[in-house]
Amino acid sequence: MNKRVVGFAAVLIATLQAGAGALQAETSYSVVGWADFSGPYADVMPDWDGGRVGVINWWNATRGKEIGVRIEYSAVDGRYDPAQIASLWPGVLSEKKPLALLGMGGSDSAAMGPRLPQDKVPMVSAGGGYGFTWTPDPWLFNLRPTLAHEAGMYAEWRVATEGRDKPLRVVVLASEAAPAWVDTVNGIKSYATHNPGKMELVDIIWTTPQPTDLTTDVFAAVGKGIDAIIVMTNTAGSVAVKRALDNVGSDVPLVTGAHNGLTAIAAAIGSADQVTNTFECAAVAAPVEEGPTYDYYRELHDKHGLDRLFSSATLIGVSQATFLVNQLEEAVRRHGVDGVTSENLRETILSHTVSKEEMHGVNGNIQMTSEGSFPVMGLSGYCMTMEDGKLKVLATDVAVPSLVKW
Amino acid sequence: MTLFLTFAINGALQGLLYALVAIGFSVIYRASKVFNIAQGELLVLGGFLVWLTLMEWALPLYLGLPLSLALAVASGWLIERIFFKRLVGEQIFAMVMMSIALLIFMRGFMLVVFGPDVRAFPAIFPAKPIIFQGVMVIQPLLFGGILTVLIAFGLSYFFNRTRAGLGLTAVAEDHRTAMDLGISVRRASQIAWMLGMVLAMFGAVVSMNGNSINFLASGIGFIAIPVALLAGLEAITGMLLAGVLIGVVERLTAGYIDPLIGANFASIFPLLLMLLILTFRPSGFFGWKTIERI
Repeated sequence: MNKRVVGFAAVLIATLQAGAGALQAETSYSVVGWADFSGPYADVMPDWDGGRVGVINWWNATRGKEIGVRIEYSAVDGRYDPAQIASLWPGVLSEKKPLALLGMGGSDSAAMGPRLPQDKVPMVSAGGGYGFTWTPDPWLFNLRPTLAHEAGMYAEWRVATEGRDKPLRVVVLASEAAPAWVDTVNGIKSYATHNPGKMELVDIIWTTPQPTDLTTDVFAAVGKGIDAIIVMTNTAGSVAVKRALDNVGSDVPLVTGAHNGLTAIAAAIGSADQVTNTFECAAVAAPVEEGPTYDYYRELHDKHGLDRLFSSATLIGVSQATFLVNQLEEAVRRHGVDGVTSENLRETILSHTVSKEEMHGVNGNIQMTSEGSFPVMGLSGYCMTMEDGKLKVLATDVAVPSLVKW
Repeated sequence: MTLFLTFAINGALQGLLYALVAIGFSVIYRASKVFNIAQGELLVLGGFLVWLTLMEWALPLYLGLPLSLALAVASGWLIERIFFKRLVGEQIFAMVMMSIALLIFMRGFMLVVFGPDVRAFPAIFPAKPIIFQGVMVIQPLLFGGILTVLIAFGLSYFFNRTRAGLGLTAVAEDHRTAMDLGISVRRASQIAWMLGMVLAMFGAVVSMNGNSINFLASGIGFIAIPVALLAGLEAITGMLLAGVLIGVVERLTAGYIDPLIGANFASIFPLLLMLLILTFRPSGFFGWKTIERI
């Protein structure tokens, strides 16, 4: 009797241990994404974060499962406010213990800049980079150059396309409400100063994060004989300038970034047909419904819970999450399933190139260096517009110009 | 010269828009003694009510606008009922704290109810500006300016010349005294909030006409505070002058000073002025001067 009981107990314990072993085979790593669901980017954030979640779901179900690693992702709303993010960070660090962070924009870059090296957590962002993070030995990695680089990309593309022998005279819309927006102005100033044959910065329209009517400012700007108005702030800024240009009957083009671009303006105005003479340029894949990026999106959408539209904002989230999972895979290869730490993940990011194929074409080959927080060499992007209510890509592989640090 | 006139005229009209929002502060303060910090949020709510009826429900203007107005009155009544009804006769500090709570609540409420999207706002006034001899005048602001002047004089007459209005004014003096005189402070407070909400809706119609709206568009409420303080919180028609002054100086600063210094001094100018007013003339230029007998 006793032998039978002992034997049964032994079998039970062995079964339980085997079960526990099987459960332990999947190692979890925490990843936290900064989000803005209640600030100036609240309108595009569901797409942006949806892109991240879709990629992480896909990776957990496929490649992560194969190597026995799972990412536990959570988004934290920082309201695009550096002070809010700085105050949330100690709690996030102690509670979530993130292996890595996914950045959202200038506010978290500014707030986390000094904290990342101190707390030794790397952060991957996919919006435009910033001059204030253009420093050596980075812990913040941005997949795109600065918005000033992208504005320069538009200027050079237009100068070349039109065969201009005079610089492009531009006005920039900005706000002092966020460090990133001021930084973009400084970057464009620097580009114009160092490239007098390509761009002349005529004026800056300073406004609020949610401008309503900019007719007077735009009327004055148009009167100065400008060739473009560049808006790299947010959707409300793009819409206010577009409305003002229409009000004063001007055909001066509006130029935006990917995060405040054509689809977001069309949604805010209520009709894609009205988004005329507007251009979106960015160093990321264009949201066109063909090619490897769209195939990747379809897979995430159809099988892995990505329930957002195929938009520029969705692609930004997809881009940063895809880069991170590729780097995590490489770190697991180097250090083993249980051996990945924030520090060796950062070392991996600095030494491993994620190819265009691994990025599913969302970005080109991405090689980070210890010279700065974002790649500045060999980058390219797209310029597109809206014609008859439909997106029209005007150029791909547009070279991103080199800029002098500011 | 034409650009200077464009800046000056549109600055004055923009200032009248600030005055319209500031009159909202004044009306609520005069009849309930609450300095409503959340007036910008009321403006956004008013804007969303217009958006709801004219864009979302696609009602024609002659139906949508009166319905928005009715919803604004109901919202004002509800806000007073939920937040301020129990504060009649209480200390000013409690009312200020409740006003801050209302601001935070309204932001969250509008985010939850209307979502984060930037939405198209209907063009009730013609959006195209008038351009004459190179001088440009923004039509919605022009119509808004006329509306503001009419509202200011109408309300001034109401508060100073009618029995009901004088009753509300008595409430602003002191809740206890007003109650002793048989004036219903609760009713005065309800009327004030309903009026405040209607004014906020008009402010939204003028400021957002043909542009866009989202839950963060309340910044104008803070710009209107210096206007209210410069005029004096009780001085409804004084708001017009104060608004024009602040609007013109702000616009000229944006047009001529900001490009020189490469920064947005125009946005802090009204707040700088507010600090000066609070330091040297806390009751404003046209506000009541309280005489206390000991």
